[in-house]
Amino acid sequence: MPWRSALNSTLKWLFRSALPPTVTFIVINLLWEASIHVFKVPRILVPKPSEVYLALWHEPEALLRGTFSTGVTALLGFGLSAVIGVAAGVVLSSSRWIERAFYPFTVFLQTVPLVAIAPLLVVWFEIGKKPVVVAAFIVSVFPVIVNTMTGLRSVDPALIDLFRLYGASPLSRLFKLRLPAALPNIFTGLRIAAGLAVIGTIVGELFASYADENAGIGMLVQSYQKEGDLDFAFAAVGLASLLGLLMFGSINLASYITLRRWHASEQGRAV
Amino acid sequence: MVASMPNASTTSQPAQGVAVTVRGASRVFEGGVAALKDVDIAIPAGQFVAILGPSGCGKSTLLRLVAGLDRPQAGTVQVEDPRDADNAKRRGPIRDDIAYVFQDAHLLPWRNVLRNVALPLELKGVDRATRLAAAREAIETVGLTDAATRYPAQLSGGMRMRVSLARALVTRPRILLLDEPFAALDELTRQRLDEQLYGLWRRGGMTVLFVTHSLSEAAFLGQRAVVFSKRPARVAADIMIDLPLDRPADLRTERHFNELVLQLHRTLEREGG
Repeated sequence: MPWRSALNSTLKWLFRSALPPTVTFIVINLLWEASIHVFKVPRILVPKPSEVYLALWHEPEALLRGTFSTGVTALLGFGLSAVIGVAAGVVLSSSRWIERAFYPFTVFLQTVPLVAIAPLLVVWFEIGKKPVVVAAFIVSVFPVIVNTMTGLRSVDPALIDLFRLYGASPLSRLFKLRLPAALPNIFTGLRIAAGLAVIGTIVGELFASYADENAGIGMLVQSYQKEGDLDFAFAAVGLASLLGLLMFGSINLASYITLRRWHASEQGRAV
Repeated sequence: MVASMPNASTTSQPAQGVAVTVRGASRVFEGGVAALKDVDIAIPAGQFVAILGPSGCGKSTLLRLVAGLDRPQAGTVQVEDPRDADNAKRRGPIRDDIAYVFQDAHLLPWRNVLRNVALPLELKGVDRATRLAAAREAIETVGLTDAATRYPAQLSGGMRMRVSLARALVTRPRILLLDEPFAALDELTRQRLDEQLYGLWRRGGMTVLFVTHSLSEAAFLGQRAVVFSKRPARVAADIMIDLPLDRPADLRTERHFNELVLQLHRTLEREGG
C-alpha cells in the first residue's frame, strides 16, 4: 500500500533527521541550566531555560500573538521577495545590457544598512505593518535575484540549441526551459530569503511598529528588556528562531516535492 | 500553427530524405580558431553518411551549420528537398525537417520520458493529443514503452540515449544529425543502438549525418564515410562503403568489413587522428 510505505519512510526520516538535533537541543538545555546553577549567573543577565519555558507556559498569549503577527509580516515580505526577486532575475538576465545597466543597483539592496533606512521607511509608509513588510522585503530580496540569475544563466547550451532548432518562442524558452532549469537555484535563494525575512521583520518592528496588542516579536523583546523580564525576552527570541526555522523548513519541503524526481540535490533524501 | 505539421505525426509513411550541399564553407570562431576551411560536400537525399576525423577538428561545427544553428563566414550550406527544388530555394534551409542528437542525451530532467519525447512537437505548436500519440509511437520505435512515465534520472545511459533518439524521431525528420551519439556508452549497448538506428534509417529513408570516432561504427552504418583533416577541417577523404544494404550484426566479423575498417584507419592516421 502506497500510503503505508509513505508513512513508513516518513517515520524513518523523522528518526534519522529529527532525532539527532533533538538530542543535541536537550543536552544544550541541560548544560545551560546546570551551568547557571554552578556558576551562579544572576538572572538579570541570563535566565534559566526552565524559567523561559515556564514564562511561555504561564503567559503564552502575548508571545504567541506576537509570533503570529511577526510570522504574517515576514511571510508578506518573503512573498514580495519571491515574486519580485524572481521577476527581477528574469529581467536582469534577459540581456547583457540590461544586466550591466541595472545589476549594480540591486547590489545596493544587499549593502544598504537596514537600521539606517528604517527611519526613512517610517517617513514613507507611516508606522504600522507596511514599513515592516518593506524592511523584510529589502533584506531578503537580493539572494532571490542573484540565485535566479545564476540559475537562468547556467542552462545547458545544448538544450538552448534544441529549443532553437524547433523554433521555440522566447516565452516558451523561458517557461519550458530556463525557469525550470533555474528552480534548484531559485529554491536556494528562497531558503536564504526565508530566514532573512524574519530578521528584517524583527528589526523593522523595533523601528516602525506600535507597541499595541498586535505587537510583533521585535517590539515584545524590546519591552520585556525594558521591564527586566529576561525570561520572556528569551522566550520571544526562541519563538522568533522557531519561526525562521518553520519558514526555512517549508521552503525545504516545497523544494523536495518539486525537485525530488529530477534533481540530485533532492534525491535519496527521504528514503 | 497546429495545422502546419502534415508529416509530423499523423501519417506513418516514411519521410523522404533531403539533400545537403555544402560549398566552400568556412567557419572561424572568435579568437581566430578556424574550425572549417573550404569544405565541399554534396550529400544526396536519403544517404547515410558517417563523418570521421581527429578530435576537435570541426565535425560538430559542420552539423551545426547544416542544422542552421550556426552560419558559415564564407560559402553556403543548403538543405533542399529534391522533389521541390523551387520551393526550397525560396525558403532556404528546411528547418522544420531537421533533428539533432547530441553526444549526451540532454533531456529535460523535470519531464518524464513521454513528455521529453513530445517536446519538439510541443514547441512547434502541435496539439496535445496528437503530440502525445506521436511520442508514444516514437518511444515504441526505440523499445522504451515500459519506461514512458519514468524520469531521466531513473534511466541508464543507454536508455537515456534512446529517449534522445526518440525525441529526434518524433517529428519524422527528413534529415537526422547525430553528433557522436553513442560515444559514452559501452560497446554492446552501442552496437545494439547502431543496429536499431540502421533499421530506423532503412524504414524511414531520411538523410543521416553521423559523426563518430569509431571506425567500425562508421563502416557498419555508413553508405559513405567522409574523413576530415585536422583543424581547420577539410574533406581529406570520401570513401564509399560498398557493403550490402542489409547489415546483420555478424557483418562486423566479415573480412571485407574489416578491410574497410582498416582502410578508414589508415586514412585517419594519415590525417593526424
